[in-house]
Amino acid sequence: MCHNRDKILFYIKALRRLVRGCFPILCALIPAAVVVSGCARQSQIQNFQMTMANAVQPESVPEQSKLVIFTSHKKEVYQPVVREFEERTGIWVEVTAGGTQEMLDKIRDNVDFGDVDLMFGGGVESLEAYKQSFAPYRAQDAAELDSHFLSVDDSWTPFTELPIVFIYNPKLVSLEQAPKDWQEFLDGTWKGQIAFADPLHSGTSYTILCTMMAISGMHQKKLLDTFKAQLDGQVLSGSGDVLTAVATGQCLVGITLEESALKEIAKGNDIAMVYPESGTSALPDGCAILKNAPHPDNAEKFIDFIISEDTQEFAVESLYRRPVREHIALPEDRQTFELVPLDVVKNSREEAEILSQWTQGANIQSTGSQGEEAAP
Amino acid sequence: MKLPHRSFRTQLLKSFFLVSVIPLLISCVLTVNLFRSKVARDIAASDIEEAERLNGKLTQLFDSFRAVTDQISEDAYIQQALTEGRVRIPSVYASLYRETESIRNISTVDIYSGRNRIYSTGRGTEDKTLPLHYGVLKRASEHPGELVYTVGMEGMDTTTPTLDIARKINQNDGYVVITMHAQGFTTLLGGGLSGQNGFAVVNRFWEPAFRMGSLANASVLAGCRDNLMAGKGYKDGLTGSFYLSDLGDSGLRSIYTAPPALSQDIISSMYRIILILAAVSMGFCLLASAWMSRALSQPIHELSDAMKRLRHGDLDAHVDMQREDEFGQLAEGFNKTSARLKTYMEEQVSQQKQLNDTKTAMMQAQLNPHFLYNTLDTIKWVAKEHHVPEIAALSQSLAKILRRSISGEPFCTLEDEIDLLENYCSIQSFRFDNSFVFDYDIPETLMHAVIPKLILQPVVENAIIHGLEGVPDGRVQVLAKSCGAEDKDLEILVTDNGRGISNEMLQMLARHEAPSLSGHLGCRNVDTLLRLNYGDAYGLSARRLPERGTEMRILLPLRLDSGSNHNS
Repeated sequence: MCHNRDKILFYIKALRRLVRGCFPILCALIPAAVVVSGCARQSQIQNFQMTMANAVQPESVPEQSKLVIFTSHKKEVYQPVVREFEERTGIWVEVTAGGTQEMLDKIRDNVDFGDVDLMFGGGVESLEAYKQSFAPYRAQDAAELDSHFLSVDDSWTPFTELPIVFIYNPKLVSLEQAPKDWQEFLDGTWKGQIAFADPLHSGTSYTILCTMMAISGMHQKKLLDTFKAQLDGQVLSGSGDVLTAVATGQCLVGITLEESALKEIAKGNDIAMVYPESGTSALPDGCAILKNAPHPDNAEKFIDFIISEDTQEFAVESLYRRPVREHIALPEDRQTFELVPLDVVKNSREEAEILSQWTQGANIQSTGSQGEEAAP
Repeated sequence: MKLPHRSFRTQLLKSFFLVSVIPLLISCVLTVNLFRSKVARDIAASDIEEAERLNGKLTQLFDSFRAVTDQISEDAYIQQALTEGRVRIPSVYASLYRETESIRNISTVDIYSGRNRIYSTGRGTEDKTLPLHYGVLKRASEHPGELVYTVGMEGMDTTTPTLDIARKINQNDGYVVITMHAQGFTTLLGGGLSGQNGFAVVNRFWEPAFRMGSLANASVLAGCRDNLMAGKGYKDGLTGSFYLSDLGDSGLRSIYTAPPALSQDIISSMYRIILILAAVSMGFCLLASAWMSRALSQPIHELSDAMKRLRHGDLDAHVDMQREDEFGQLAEGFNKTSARLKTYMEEQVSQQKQLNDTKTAMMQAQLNPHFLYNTLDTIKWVAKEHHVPEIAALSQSLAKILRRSISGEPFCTLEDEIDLLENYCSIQSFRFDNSFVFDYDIPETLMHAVIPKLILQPVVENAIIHGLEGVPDGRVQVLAKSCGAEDKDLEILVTDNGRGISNEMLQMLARHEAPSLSGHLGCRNVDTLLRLNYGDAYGLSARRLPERGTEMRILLPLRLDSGSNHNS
């Protein structure tokens, strides 16, 4: 009996001690419980928000439906192509755009991480120079392509070709006076009236110099000095400025890409275009799959897509470019011309040397805004 | 005094905290949360309503697109123009304008023959082409008779998107294309969105056909798309609510977004206010508990002080408290108690004084024992002179007994006690006509054992008077021996050969009861004396011997007299 009572007393004491000990915990627990209940209510609100007719919850994109590309094309070029690709394949494309050199350097530095699939754009001479970063792929329709533009080892696949043309302001220069051939840019006919972008900033200008060397047969140093004399020490800072300078009458004539000229003409600006009589060069731009590409199947689909008949036709009709695929009809305003072959590999190799010769000697003044380079 | 005061204060503080701060916190947090959920609910409801309204307008518009294109496809003039090629028939425009009346203010309707636009409700008549194998016409040719919705790329204008809706209406590559610009959307949807809300129409790849409000900033939707591509939730890193809805079967999706109902700033400032309130009420709790504890502890302190004085003998301790409450009653009670105590103590003191006076008087009344002793000595010498040796012997023995009994010493040696017994027995022997003999057998060492004075005499007296009554050859013997563990105890046995102790007496001794029979008082006193001196393990016990007689046993601790200089 006595033992039992002791036991009961012990339990009562223990209980009281427990209650006293738990006091601060209770004090802390009550607000905590309130906050937790508040959070629970918050999530109820979240649920409540979804009670809407036709409500959808988008799911993240599965890995097999992704493609990550780097491009040096302008948005007006890559966006319709990429959108059409998405519509046709259901593949989501992530695009990062930038200058050719910037993108290629990024690719060279990051190719081991394997988070980019494809480089879209860039002259094939640049792609050739970086081909250790690319995985060879032979497009399904490779046989349909103009063999002039094919890569020897399929490191890259050409997309379009971009011929170099002369432009003039038709309000200031009559059709009869308009430049006919390359010789006129070296013999003083247009001295001080030539719109030309600084080759240090414009890949197109470098290609123009190479083309002039190939056509005139002059020694490179002599040619550079002669041409610089014609420019009267005036170069423009970007390719875009060439068109503006001619359209505004700042210069009478200019040398630029057919694509740029046609676009300006389509806009209704005062530009007229002439194909050189003795022919011109047409450097293709290309597309290449990166080594370690995370979605190589989709990258191959993209390459097949850009050289498909539909895309090539689109490039001709809407992007003012020339096809690399054969049997694509050209609009009436595109004349045929004699193609001046350029040694892509050699020009790529000698670029630094020629550019350093260009900067030496004659004082060259760069004018105009530093515009975005018209992508080749 | 300090510690209990503090704990009392803590207890008060705890209780105040429990009844004020906790309920305050709970109710505030509950209120904020309720308010928050209410606001969020209301705003969500109005957002949904707004989103539904916009979606409704769009789906209604899409329905009217269907109706308009139905009419156009059935229009005989238009069909004729398409079938015959690029022929301008004046009445075509009349019917085109009539049929597109309902949608012309918000969209442009073009008729394409192949890739060339032949009629347009838009301004101007400039030539326009669309690729047949790319974009919207391609989609339309893949789904003849159906309306296809694509995000436009008209005019290569990449900054403000358009929505192109096309339908193939003629086998000879005849299409009707409806183009909606941002302006058309704004006209339709009524422009202004409330506050920071945004609205957008996107295709299945989250590419926008129209954006307005907060979504006009292209980076928001681009961020959503990047999130989806990165495998995250589309609104990862974005705040606010998003309402996504499919727009009929157009394959387009509308996105309505609203900023959070209550921004984090408001919520956190509300919680800050709650914290300040809690702190203020905590401060009040502290003040109140301090005040209360002081109000309570001061009278307690006074009372406790008075009690301390009382405890230390100050019977005049008095608490002067002018209060009507419980403390006042308590103080009054204390004052009454101390007054009563004082009276009681005074009574006690006067009683004791009386007692002492009486004792003194009694002592003064007692006969001087030395006078008795000297008288007996004189009787002894007178008897010797008159040759009555019995009187001389008797008076000598009585004198010896008297001398020993009046000595102030409470203890004596066993030897002294035996000496006393011999004198006593000589007197008793004379009284009872030499009817008994007394002898003893005690080891020499035990003769020096120290025992309480006069503990053997009553036992021997008991044996002579009660045990040997009527026995002709009586004998009383005293034996002593050491016993117990390590011989620490002393056992003294008093035996007689009388008629034996009565059962009644045995029980009384066993129970240590006061004897009812007079004359046995001496034995009982011995027992009590021994127990008081040495504890309950010691005392007097008795037993009847098997043949005849009684054995009384005295047990006490053995203590030897170290000096052994006791005078006999």
